[in-house]
Amino acid sequence: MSISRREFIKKNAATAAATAAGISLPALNLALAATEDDIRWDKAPCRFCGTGCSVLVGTQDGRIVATQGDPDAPVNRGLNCIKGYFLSKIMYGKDRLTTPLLRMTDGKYDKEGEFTPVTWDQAFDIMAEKWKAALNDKGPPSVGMFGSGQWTVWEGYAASKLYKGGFRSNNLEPNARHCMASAVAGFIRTFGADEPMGCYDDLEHADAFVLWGSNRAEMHPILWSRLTDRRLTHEKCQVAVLSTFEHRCFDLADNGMVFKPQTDLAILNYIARYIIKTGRVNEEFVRNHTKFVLGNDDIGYGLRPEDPREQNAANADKAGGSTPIDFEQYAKFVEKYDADYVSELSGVPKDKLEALAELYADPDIKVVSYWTMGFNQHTRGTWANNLVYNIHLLTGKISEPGNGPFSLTGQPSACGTAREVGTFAHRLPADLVVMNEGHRAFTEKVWKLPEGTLNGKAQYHAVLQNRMLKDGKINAYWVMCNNNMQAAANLNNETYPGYRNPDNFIVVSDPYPTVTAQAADLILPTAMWTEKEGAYGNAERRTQFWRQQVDAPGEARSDLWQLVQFSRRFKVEEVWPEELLAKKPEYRGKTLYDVLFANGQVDKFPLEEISDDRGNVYNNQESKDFGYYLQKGLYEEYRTFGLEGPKKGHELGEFDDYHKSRGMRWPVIDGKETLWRYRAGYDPLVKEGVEFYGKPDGKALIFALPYEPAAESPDEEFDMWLSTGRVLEHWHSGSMTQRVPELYRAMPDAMLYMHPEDAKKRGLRRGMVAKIESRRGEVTAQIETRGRNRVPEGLVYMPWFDARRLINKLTLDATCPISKETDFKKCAVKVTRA
Amino acid sequence: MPETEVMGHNEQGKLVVVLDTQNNRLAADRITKIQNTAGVLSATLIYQYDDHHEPQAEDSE
Repeated sequence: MSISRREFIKKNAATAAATAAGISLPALNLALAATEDDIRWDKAPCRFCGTGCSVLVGTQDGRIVATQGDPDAPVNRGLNCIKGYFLSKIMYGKDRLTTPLLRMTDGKYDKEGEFTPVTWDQAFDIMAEKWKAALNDKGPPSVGMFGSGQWTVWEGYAASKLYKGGFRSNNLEPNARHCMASAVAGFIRTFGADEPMGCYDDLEHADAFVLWGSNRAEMHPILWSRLTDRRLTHEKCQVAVLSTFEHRCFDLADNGMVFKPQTDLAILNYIARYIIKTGRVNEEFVRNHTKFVLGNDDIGYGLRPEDPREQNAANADKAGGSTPIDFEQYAKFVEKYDADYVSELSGVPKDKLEALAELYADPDIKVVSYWTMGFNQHTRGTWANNLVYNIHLLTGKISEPGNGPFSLTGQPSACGTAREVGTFAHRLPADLVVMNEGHRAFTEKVWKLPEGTLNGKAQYHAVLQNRMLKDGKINAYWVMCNNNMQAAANLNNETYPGYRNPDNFIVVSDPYPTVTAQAADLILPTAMWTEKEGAYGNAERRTQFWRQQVDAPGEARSDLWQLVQFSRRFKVEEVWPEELLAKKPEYRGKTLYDVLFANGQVDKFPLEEISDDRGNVYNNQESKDFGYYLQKGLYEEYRTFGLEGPKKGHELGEFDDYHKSRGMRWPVIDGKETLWRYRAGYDPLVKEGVEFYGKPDGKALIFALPYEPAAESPDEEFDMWLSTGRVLEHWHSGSMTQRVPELYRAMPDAMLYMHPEDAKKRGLRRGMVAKIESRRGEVTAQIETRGRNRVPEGLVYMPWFDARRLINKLTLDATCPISKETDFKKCAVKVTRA
Repeated sequence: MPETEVMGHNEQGKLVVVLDTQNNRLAADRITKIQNTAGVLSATLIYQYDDHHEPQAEDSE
């Protein structure tokens, strides 16, 4: 690079940074920055977490060479975190997959064979053979799919149509089950509608922030920087942080609290009690907008039914049940959660508990609660969500600027795709569910399917899918856009045996040879991120679109292309019974492709040249291959669910408006987004006061729910808690970030964070290698007793990004019995010298 | 810190820092170092450019 070019790029970088930070740089010749740039810039949401930052993607000679924080994006305002910074490199790892690979011996499929390159035709041939065999032998529940909160909106929608409408199987789940199912169940139980009522604008309106099980400084750094800004510029701003160990957020915290695992439930009830005892219940709000219920207790741990912990649980089969009570009964229920009991149970000093409770109780403090996996990955995750809503409802601190509960997501489209499209075993688009006859009928009408096509039974959720693979109940299984071998708990006893079960055929679509891909029988090479046109929905209900910027390498094709192509392999007669066909005889002889995609709706928009307002032209591989604007057709059909469906509040905007804007937050009414839901003046669907319109009577539920212990607590032999999680530099399983040399170098190996006293007791020192063992498996890792995570005695912490140290061999596949989300934060281990 | 320039700052204590490294592997080390420096509350990245067009060696093995 020439000196002048180098200087030019540095000036560009400095200018972008100065603009984002609000700093003027008089010394720079800013005029220069606007000229002689041969990079084509276009916007795209970041590929990584659920924050939904927008980045400007710089393309040069058909390759992504640069990125910068998008200064016009309301989410990140020109900022980016370290992961976003390296976005330009995630597509260019040396081991990128470019051709389908099938396990073969002597030219034929063999489960014990070696991965051998095959054509797409060969790949779909063997897949279709296996899918048809399974459907013939055992019917729809024997085929399954494990999808993703990283799918684009239309990919999830196409998968839902193919599985639920085509194969008539509800065995479709997203990996988002592992990360926010408890948030979903909590929202649905309390409010009757999914997703937060507030938005990121709360960050500039609140007086206090409470982080419950969210290490935002490392996991959502851009939101953390907005929170930090507020803390430093708003005089009365306070930050409370709760966790089972000290992490980076404690540096800024006014009130940092380390509590014993699982006791967050008791702390939440303590706050509710405190609000009542100090006479700060917002009586008018409670009377008009809430009702009280007693939730069923003793609900088990979502383990296999023969486990004694399930056998002994009184309400394992009716975990979601509840009975109406009144305010007095509720007040009596929380009576036992006083400061003495809760401080003793949680290990948090009384004065800290009281300071925390006061943030909620004081009517003059606007408070936002944030949480991520600490609440959600919890065997009482749904309860934790319900309990935090209780304290916002008791005080009426909800659905207005600066006041509200807010669950953050870990994946870029956990909301947009997994939740809004409804790629779960029990869900349909726009908060509809398969169990509801009216919802099924509406869906069948939109999809032009014969009445009775959809299966009314919610089938296997994520954890159950692995168990059913092991038990041979699911035989044809497609894993797309996730790394579940590394992610799912109890790898040795549940996941791996299922994938390698000789009765099963496992397909994995991925850009890289992840551990999951390596455990498969067929690997399909996938186009990723800006190699396709896409849409993501972030944690604040913001839907964002992007255009295809570059072509995928070799034979790699997008998940959307794969799903739609595969549907061509099935004649309707091969998957539907005669009585269904008799209702729509015009479908005889057609393929699932004809019925689901070339249905006059999805193929309605002709192929067009994709261009931006600056005259740049972009490719669209799928539209070219199928001959129509596939993404737009899918989106418009999907949008019908929000505009005409039985549940209001899910309205989305016009396709082209999303390409022009930095996204919009739904409900989008008359082209305008909604920042705060459920309150008149902010939400156009509410005419007066507050209305939680997800519930038929507009009233949210306040739940009486107790503290109950974890599924597995430390004992004599396995004497420590193990918590798993993430680090700043890597995103989730590391399949993308581990391939970026800079990130790998910054944090190459997962370490075991341990208290120095605990290490000493075991003859260990910082830097030594330890063996960590649970009842299910063992790994080795280096001990870290200092650094950014400072764990208390009795607890160790290890991140899960490192494919060479699969911490999920140790974790227990216990779930919240209501949300079915795994608790990755609590199991019992012992640590010894390796 | 070598190859690191402070290009500007303001009264709130925000700095604009530009890293220009020959070996771009150093970038992340440097960023982590900045982030872990006492007194730094938050370090965010704005602009990145890389003109090494070779596929990246996967040194995670």
